[in-house]
Amino acid sequence: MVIRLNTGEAQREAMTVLVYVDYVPATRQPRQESLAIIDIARDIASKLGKEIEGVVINSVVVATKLRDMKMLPKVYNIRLKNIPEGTYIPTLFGEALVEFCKKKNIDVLLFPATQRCREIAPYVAARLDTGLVADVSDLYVDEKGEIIAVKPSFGENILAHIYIPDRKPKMFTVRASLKKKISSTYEACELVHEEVSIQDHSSIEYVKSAQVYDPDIEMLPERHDIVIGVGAGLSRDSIELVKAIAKKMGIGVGATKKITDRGILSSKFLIGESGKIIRPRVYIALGISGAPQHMTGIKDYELLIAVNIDERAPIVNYSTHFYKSDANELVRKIAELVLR
Amino acid sequence: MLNIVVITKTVVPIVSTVKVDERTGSLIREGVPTTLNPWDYAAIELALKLRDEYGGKIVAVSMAPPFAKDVLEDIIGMGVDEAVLVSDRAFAGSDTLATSYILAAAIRHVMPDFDIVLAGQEAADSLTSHVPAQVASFLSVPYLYYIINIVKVDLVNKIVNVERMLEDEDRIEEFKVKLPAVFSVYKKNVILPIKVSRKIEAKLNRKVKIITNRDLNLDQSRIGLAGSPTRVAKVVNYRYEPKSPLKIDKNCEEFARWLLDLIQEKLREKQ
Repeated sequence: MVIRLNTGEAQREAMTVLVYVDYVPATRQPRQESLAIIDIARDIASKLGKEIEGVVINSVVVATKLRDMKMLPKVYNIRLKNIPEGTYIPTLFGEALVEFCKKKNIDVLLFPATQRCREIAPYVAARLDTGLVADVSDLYVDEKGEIIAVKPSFGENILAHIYIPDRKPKMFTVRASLKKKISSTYEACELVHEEVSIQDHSSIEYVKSAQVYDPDIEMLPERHDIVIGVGAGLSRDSIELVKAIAKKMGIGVGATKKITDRGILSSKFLIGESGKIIRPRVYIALGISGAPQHMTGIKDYELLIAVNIDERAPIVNYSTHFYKSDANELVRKIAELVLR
Repeated sequence: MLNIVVITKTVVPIVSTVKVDERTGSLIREGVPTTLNPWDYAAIELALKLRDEYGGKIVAVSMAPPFAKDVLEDIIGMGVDEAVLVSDRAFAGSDTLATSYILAAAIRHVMPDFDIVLAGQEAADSLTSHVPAQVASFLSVPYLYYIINIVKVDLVNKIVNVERMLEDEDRIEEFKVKLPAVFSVYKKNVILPIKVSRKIEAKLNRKVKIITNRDLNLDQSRIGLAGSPTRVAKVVNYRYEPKSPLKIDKNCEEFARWLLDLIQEKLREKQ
């Protein structure tokens, strides 16, 4: 596959921090995660005295929306010749970015850590023979002017501070906080159209897509600020009640491994090792003993309210509030109040 | 017939137990056992299913220090045909880019006529998801992540239709892909049984093939630390302060009402 930008002579421009704007092809909406990393990009750019720009691939609709938001001073839309607007193909998106970075002298390339970006970014890094740090929780500039990425690993028990010397662009997929408000800060945003042509795209073709309808999706723990965690201290019936309560109240449900192993809840609800890492404001731990394999999945909470029959359970050490009780009894009581 | 490579990784089983020596920056691995990355089972399971249906051969490829041989014998016990350990001191210190470069060369070496390369979605220790895309880049083949199903296989033209799950968009997408290609398999909890007799046979007959840089002959500047664009400045353990919780003294109904009020209040704050 060969891709060339039809924009004539490569020209050296000012050094740039580029934000890749991911979007949902089905709706042509920019992902919130994309917008949330703009502040981080702006901060890095101002510390390094660089410009900040955004890039959208293959969607005029998304690029126009982005222009109207004025969160960036300049946005590029790279149209893929012969590929319908809004169609996503990882290798083609990757190749388009590779050509763009080479041409525009990009110093830093930031992606939101969405699933599509986690798919494209490593390909781009390999093609450009540069470094990429995945799913970073923080970026800062050290006293030598080097960008340092904080990368949680080993169940986030270890924070590695990683940098990319002597290569361009320095690439990062960045985990953004969606809790912060985003504001537009530029008077205007310039939209620039570029086009790349693809000589051979027969190796991978988009066929179709479908929305997943799963009644449990709305309760997934990573989607909520308030999450009820269920552990082995709860009966199967109590867990059914917790699901009904969570659904009614619009909050999330998480589970320990014992619960997902028994098939009471699917592994999508598993929190901790080999499951999800979440950042709720409030975690309500019902019948959870507090094994490190579970607790490693709950980070940066404001309140952790534990309900357990055993006052010496390790969960106590993680809790801001502790209530000694059979959690089943409490669930029945809450169900009476909420579901009546 | 399909020629299938499965890329696997050896990780520590309970990652939350791992600590780092903050002075040296190295992991304290002492007393920490190793095991197959939990997300690799789904990739092996898919490989076995494809071989059952269409025939062919499966080779597992893993880059690791020599101690990982045991995990590869387990994988043979699960039913794959061959297992290859890519191991050399010269590979130590490789980041994901250098690792992918080495793995791509190893795949070309052990199965040059591969049709499909499968990998788990991510490694439970490092959580980068870089290797499948970077291996695809070095092999110059298409790739796709988060595969849940191979819905159609055209063996004559070597074209497959695959479905993949984008959990953060609640969406399943279907793509038509010309083989050879690399796929990462959507993470799900599966455990495959290990046939003990097969594993013992693999051990006795030294069935795990070890390849080093003498076999691959890769340029020193592309492998190990020299071939790795990323550098670790420092590593720190996540700081966690044990809490002394406020013990709540209420009867069940009072506590239930208190908790519901708190939830309602926090939900209102968000709006």
